[in-house]
Amino acid sequence: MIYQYVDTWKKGDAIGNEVRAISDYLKKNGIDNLVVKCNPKTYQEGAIHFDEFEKKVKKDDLLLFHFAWFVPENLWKKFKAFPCKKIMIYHNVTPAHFFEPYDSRESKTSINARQQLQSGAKFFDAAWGVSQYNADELVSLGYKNVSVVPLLISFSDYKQEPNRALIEQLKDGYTNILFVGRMVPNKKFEDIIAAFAEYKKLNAKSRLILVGNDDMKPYVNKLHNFCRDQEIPDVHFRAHCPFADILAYYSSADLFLCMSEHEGFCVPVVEAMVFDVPVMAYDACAVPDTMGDGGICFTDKDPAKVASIMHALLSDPKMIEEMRENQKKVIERFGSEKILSEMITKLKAFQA
Amino acid sequence: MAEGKPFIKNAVWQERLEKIAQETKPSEIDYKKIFEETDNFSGNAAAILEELGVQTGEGMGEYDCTSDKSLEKVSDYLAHAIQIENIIATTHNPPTSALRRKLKTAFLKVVCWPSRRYLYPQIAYNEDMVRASREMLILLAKVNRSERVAAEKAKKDLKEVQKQMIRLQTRIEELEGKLADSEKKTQANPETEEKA
Repeated sequence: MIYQYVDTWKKGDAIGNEVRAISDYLKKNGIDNLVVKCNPKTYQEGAIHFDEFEKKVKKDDLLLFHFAWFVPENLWKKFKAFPCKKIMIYHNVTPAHFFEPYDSRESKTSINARQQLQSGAKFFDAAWGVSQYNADELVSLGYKNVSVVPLLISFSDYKQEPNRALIEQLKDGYTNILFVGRMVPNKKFEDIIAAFAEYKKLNAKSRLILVGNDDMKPYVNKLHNFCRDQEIPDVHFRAHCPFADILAYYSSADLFLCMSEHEGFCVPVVEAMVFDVPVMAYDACAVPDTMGDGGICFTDKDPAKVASIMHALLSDPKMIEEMRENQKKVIERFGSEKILSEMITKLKAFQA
Repeated sequence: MAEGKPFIKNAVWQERLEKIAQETKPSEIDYKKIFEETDNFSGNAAAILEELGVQTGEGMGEYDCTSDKSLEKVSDYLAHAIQIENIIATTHNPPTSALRRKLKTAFLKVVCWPSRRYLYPQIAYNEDMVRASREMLILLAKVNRSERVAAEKAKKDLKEVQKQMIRLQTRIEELEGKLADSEKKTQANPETEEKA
């Protein structure tokens, strides 16, 4: 039996999607598997609670442990002691210093999560990073049998019906600059806004759409105040969007701009490519590796310079077309079937 | 940009765009510093609005991008603001300069709404407007709350002063009574007074 542990199993969330894809693929290939979760409030279908797993787990079972944040200490101790073989799938943990000015609790949790990550090197039999960046981090922490297994992206989800009315609204001759991601300090929304403010000087008919969870209020309030005080118009914050709206924003975007300074993979960059949206992203962590030549990777955040590149790209249909061709190759790299079959091979070899 | 380090990392785009990046002058505005200095004030909108008597229900938490609904909300907010708060007075006399600046920005946004809508008839300004009016209410509530606290304290102080005045008045009356008695005794028996 193969078990996958995930703290919070959410529908639509990148890790949740991967858990579901692995589970479905294993079932399709006749391999028994179950998802274990400890947060009872999240997506239930087909998952068992930790207590049940504790009773069932045997020595010849295999546990795929998705690590992205702090695990309750009592469970972490139990995981260490289980007799089965364990593989960590590492999604990365945002460093504490990003949270410090805004949320001391989140900052402390990040420190604790990183301490757990370090202590895990001794008892995991193998570790998979969803990007080369993550794998390098695991190696530096002393994990053994480290390899890269890219994050599984559920491309079929993007074929759902978008909000057509919203698409029509956004087709008003304005250039739509988009970023999608939780509104947290490491994503550097303020740098996106600054670059947009400069771009607005080059193209007045443009708007910035920022889509993502806005639960970190001290940071989000500061972003709102920043836009208001500097009188930067046409910045749209979209906090709790239905999936059909997110699809509409991607469908209507002219450029995806990412200024994030910490990403373990950065799914939205690939999502933008699925919608043929040109991408520009700052050179940080796993982003250049995920993006490849499907987007422009820049090494400096000067807003005027970023804006000039945005303008140059958006004024050059030939370059955009070429970028789209490159994006197809990037999407191919993350094709679920390919990754899953490689994953199964690895799992079989590991169990043998 | 670090000296010698190219602006564009991937070679395929570098050869076409690097020159543009190098020729662009760095931004004159220090956005990073401005953002660092920006406050994260918001106030608990729902609590303050409730305190003001504004109904907080579905739809209040999110900005609506459909123009009619937004305008309806704005006019509701303004009606409440006018009914409950003295907008002009609080805008001109807030207790701190930071609040004055915030209030004026919010107030100007509300006042300038019709012309902005005429010039730029896109959805952004509806949201901007809803937000501005809501922020203004929050700020007004904050100002008024601090004024209320000050007024309550002044009222308490005044009562204390009044009590003291009454006490003093009583004492004065007592002393005046004693003085009058003493004068009467003196007039009735001038010798005793002299001996004394």
